[in-house]
Amino acid sequence: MDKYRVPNRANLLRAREYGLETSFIHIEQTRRLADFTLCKYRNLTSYHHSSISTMNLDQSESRYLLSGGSNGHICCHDMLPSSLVTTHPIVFQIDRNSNRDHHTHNICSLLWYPNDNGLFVTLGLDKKLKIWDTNQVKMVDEYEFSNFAYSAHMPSTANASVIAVAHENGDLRLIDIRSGSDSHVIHSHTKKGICLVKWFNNNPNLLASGGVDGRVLFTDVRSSRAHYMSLDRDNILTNNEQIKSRQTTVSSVAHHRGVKSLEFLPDNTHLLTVGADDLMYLWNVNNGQRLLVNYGPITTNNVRILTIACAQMKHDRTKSVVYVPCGKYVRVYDILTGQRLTTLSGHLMPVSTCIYNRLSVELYSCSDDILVWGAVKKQQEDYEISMKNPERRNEATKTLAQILNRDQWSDDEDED
Amino acid sequence: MNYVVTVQQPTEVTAVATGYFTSATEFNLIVAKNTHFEIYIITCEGVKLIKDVSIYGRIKILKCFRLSNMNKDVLFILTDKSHGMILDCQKTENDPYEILTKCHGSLKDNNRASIQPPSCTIDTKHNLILLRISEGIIKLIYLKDLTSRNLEAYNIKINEQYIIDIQFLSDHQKPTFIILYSRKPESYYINSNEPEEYYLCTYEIEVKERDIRRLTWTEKLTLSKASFLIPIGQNDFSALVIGRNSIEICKENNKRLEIKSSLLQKTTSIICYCTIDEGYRYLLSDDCGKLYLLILEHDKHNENLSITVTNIKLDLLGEISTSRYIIYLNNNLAFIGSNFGDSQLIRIFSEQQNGSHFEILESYANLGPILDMCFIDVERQSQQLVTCSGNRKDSSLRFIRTGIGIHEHASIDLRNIKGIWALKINNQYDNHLVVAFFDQTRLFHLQNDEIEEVELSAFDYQHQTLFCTNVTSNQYLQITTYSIRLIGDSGQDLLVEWKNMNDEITVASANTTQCVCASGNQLFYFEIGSGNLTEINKCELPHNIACLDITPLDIREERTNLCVIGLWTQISIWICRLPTLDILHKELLTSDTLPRSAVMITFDDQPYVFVSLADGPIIYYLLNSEQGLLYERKKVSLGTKPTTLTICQHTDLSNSSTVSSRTVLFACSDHPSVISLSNNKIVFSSVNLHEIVCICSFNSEYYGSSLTLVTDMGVILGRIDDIQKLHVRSLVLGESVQRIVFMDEEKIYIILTQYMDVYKSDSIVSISKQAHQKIDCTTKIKAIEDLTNQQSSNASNSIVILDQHTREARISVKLLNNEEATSLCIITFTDDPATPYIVVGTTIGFENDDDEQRLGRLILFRYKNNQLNMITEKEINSSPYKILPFQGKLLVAIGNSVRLYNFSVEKQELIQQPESYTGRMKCLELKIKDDFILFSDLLGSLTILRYNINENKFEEIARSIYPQLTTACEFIDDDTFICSESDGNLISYNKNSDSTKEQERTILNELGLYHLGEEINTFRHGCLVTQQTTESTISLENCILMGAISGYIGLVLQLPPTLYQLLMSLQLILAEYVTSIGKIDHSSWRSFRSDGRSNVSYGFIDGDLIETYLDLPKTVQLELITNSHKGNNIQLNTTVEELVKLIEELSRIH
Repeated sequence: MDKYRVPNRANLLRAREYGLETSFIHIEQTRRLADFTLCKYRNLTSYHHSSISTMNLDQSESRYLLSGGSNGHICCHDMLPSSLVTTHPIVFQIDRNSNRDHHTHNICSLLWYPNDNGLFVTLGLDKKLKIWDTNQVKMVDEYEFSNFAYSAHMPSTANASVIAVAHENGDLRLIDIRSGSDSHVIHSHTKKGICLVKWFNNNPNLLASGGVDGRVLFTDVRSSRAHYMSLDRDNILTNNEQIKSRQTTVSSVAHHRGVKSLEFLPDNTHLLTVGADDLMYLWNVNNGQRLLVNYGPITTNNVRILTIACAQMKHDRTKSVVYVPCGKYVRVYDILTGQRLTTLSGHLMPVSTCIYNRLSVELYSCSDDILVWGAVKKQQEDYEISMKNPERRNEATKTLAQILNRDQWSDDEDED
Repeated sequence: MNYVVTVQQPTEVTAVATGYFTSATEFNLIVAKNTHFEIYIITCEGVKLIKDVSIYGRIKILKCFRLSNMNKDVLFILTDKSHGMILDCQKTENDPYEILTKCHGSLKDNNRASIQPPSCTIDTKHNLILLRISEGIIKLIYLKDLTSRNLEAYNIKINEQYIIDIQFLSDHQKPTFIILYSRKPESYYINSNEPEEYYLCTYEIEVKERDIRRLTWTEKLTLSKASFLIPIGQNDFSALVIGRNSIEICKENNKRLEIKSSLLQKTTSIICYCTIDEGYRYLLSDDCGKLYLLILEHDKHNENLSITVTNIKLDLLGEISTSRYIIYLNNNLAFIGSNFGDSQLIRIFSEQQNGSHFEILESYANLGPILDMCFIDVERQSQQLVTCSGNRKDSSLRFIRTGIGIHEHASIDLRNIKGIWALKINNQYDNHLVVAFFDQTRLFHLQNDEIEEVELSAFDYQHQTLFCTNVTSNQYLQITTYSIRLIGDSGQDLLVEWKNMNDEITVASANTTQCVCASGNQLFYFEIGSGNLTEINKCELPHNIACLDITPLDIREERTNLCVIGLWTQISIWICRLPTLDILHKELLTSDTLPRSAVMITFDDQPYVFVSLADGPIIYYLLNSEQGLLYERKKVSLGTKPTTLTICQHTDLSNSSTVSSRTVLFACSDHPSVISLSNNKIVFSSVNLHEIVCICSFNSEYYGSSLTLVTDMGVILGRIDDIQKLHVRSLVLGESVQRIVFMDEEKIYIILTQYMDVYKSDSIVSISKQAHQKIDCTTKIKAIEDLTNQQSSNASNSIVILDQHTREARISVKLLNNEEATSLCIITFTDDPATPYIVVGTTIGFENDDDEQRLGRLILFRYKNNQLNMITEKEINSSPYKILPFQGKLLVAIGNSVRLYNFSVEKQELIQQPESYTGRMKCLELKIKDDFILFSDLLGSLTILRYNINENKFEEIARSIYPQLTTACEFIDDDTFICSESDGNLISYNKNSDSTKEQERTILNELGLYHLGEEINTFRHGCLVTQQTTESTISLENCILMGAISGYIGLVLQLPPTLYQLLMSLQLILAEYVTSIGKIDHSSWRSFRSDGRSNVSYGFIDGDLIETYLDLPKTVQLELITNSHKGNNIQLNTTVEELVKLIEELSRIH
């Protein structure tokens, strides 16, 4: 935790006035990054009755959070303003009562169109991928597949229009939403199928896919080859001369069991993977070498896809934190050292998705409900003290009642 | 709905370059100042500014280099938004230095931005530009491929992170570059005690493959903060590495050579360097402004051009402004580009002269960084902005006002002058000055720059002269209170003298052939001939005559047939016909004060009559010269003292090829102004002088066309500027200044300063040490006393009181050890509304501690009769970042909360009130308006609070929803607010108090987003010009001035919706029409972009763009409007004249 201690704020503010400090905002974010606690007084207007399988936050405003339930219901919350005490309203919802184009099965993937939140994409276990107009909450296009698809992703670069869909049978389907063509299929994972697909952060032509067979493949969609690199857990980056790291081969396997999570770090040169073998690995994207970082066992239970969230400070690459859903808890690791910083506990059911909001420096996690985590420990204490003040009690009875109805979770308690 | 316009362009130097840019023979210095760059020509005398070019972007990189197929240099510029361009300068018909864009393009990509500023190096031999903008990627631009207009770069991955410097090694077979990098970010070395480690490595570029190959030479360095690389030698692997206080030469397969010099102490911090010629000499400068010369002594091996450096020598040359850029020009000249003080041009002596190694030839004013400002508007007379500028020894207060400047040629120390006239005696130029005093007259002769008093026998020296002029046939007319004298023969011969038997002459006026004078209510009219002065007519008016004028309406004419008369008692202006003295027109002035002077003048063929009243205002009419009728009355208030109007032939010297003379009217008062006609509109421009008694134009042989101005301090002979502009005076303080307030009651400035021993300067005595009276501040608070006694400190913080007029330090109060003053205000409390107090908030500083745990105090002072008394102090448990007077109480922002303090007169004590408000992280800025408070939080952005007086509590009204890093904020009016953000954006908000939905009421709506490209530190209400005419379409009531780090001063003006619509349409049309340098889109330049959020710009008008409309040719102006009707999206429903009039009005507010 010492690493996340930062310079004196008064000096930084003074330096900023003279134009000598350019990374003030990042330093301020760092200060808060590793100090998350449950925001007890922030509620999301409840909607989902079943467990929530996936969430997505829009990139252009970091404001609208889409969440999809295992019954196919989709809902969008407005996550701003991030006040201490607030209830976030529902912006729209898609279910059988409100929309006839709703999904009927579990939602696998939700995607906001990058750089513009006027469009979003949903993928369900009903073998349908739907494209929606946000403003009218109206379906504008639909693709139906013959196979199950578990994951879809879009490149975050500008002018992106290609959705990659990972199919159960190992096919990687590319859908160009401009032309509507969905015929481009790459047969990459042959054995048991793909779980996951992710585009590279900075290149709209490269994508990574993780399979049930434990393989992680890098594919260049322009090339005729199925993939150009396959990650190998024995290809290790080390200074030790005696260990001869194995080169990547066609039969390389990243994890012994299926891949459950793929996440590129914001620095674009590293990839984190989590496998069903309860291990998390850090890879160098450029040469496919695995970095020797030990995160310890990560129990994935039977969640099919985990979404982990990475936060990395712009001014300092070494300050990178990953939030990993691990059973009912969210664990926070320092990415480059593997040190476990803290564990966030508050959920009653296994957590499937974590989303880090870079703009307001907070974390959203979901299991059967959605919780918000932020660096608000001191504020909450202040607030609680002020609520105990008898003069103020009357005006706050309503909020207090709401609070009392909620279960309170200690953040210090660890599992096992 | 705001109009944003530049008042002062950025002055801080952000990049420099030299090269043969304008032509193959002219050596140029190019200085970039944030959003614009200046091109100078270097001569042996110094440098000459020839062009100032604005860019739609903030210049991050500026490099001058030569393309292989050209005989002169081109300029490469990279902006903050990663737009790259290569510019060329050509001579064209319209412009001798036209800037052309050779190619341009966006070099932006999605990679992780680097915290280091972008670096760039150019290899002209291989035609390559190498850029490092984001981490892990270098960009290569192949200059050979630049056949199209598109600038393209190839990204190449590089493993090294945190690249600090990157340089090409010269003359290698393949392009080879060397990089300096660290494996950890810089902040690691500041915080912890880890040893600093830096690495060098070299790469070779495979030009064809567009790839790089790492070479064998690598070095590990343990310098203190290595920051610069200077490759030395040719076809060699060696480089000079400069660190904070270390200099080392690294060479492949050689031992490192490190300098050992007593000059490099632990505290030294070298921040910039430049190479002198091609030799082994370098100029270095450190953060205290010391200039060093570094010499590499070397042996040259003849055969293979390889050079061995045998020794490094470092000499101290002297002290300059703290600089970020130095560039060596030639002829021993060097340019110092400063970010904290004035930029300088210095000449370095080869031999030491008078104990110094260089002289400062010129310095260029720099206002940045502007930390705080105060606006002074004393009875709308002297609008002045005072800024806290600079840092450390280069800190200063800058006094900024707008007006017409006076360039003083000479001055005469004469007091109590009543009037002044110029005479041409035996010369075609003015060579004599007739100066009238009460009861006497003196005559001065001016030859070249010498002035002597003469006595020509025919002049009357015993009486006060009322009027004096050259008249027909080489004669002179002197009208004194006693008589009218017609003088000939070079002033020796009194030809005619006319006396009024009974009374003194009270007022008089004349032209070359006519003369009128008045004595009480009698009016006499004379005609002047050769050797005779004939009384033609006289009459009696009902009241005494206050003023007269018979200036010919056409300046080429010798006579006029109209006379303007101003009367006492029945305050009125009469027009009468000459020579009959028939009254043509009577115009009542509807004023209580008498007319002081009246003048007939023709502007652009339209005759006017201007009348000044004794209490300051000026009334003017259009004159029908045929019938002598006055119509279309307009009134303007200028000064508060009697105003005298004088016609001056104002010669335009700025345009030497066409010396054009134009007539202007000079209004002399305590608010001197020049009245002229510009685009069919009478313009009043204020003159940058305190008070002028009277004036006459003086067309001297030696000085050219000039003016003599009589002030209460003496006579100034000088020239005035053509247009009104900003004038900046500076008061060097010698120590950092952070906050300023002006106390109107006592006419003093109060500033907070900090002096650091580390940055001491030999040349300047800091202001706190200059004070007449020095006080040490004490404390009775035990905790603070204990803390401050424990530690010694190297900084001393003071409160200094400066006199408004003399600008001398009257009193300085030295705070305790380690006590830093953070905030300052002037307040009157409800219990004691007559006494203004000074409140200073301080913090006790510790090294690296937690911000929340600090101690601080509020100190209350009373200043009266040059005495400063500490009344009381109050301990607080955190740092008071902002304090303000609010509803007769003291509003203090402490940590994340806002508290109120009251002052008890009986106990002489500050008492904390129970009410407070708690924000989120830390309060950075507070602004108040009535009972509303604008609260800017470190991460929660803006919150509007209302103080409920009845219930004594703060209520949160609304808050903005987007988290952003606000730097400053201000109220525009009750419902709208503006704030600046740390990435150089402006955001305006409004609150929705009337909304029926609670959700909407509590949220601040974003009204506008705008990328300004400047980091604003402070907003202040005010405007540097007074609004003189009531007929204007814009109101200056809600003007806001803003001061930025770069020295930029801008103005925000609220526009009515209709005007906004019109100007927005014009902006869109202009943005399309005006070609920008580097072909950057106006919309992309102004689009809002901050970390994590981007949006198009709206709600703000770019005034700088709008005002370019005035410079367009008339035909184009018309074309833009008519074309707009053809298109179906934007329409301008106005005429060229109306639009020009509107924009002129807007352009006059800054």
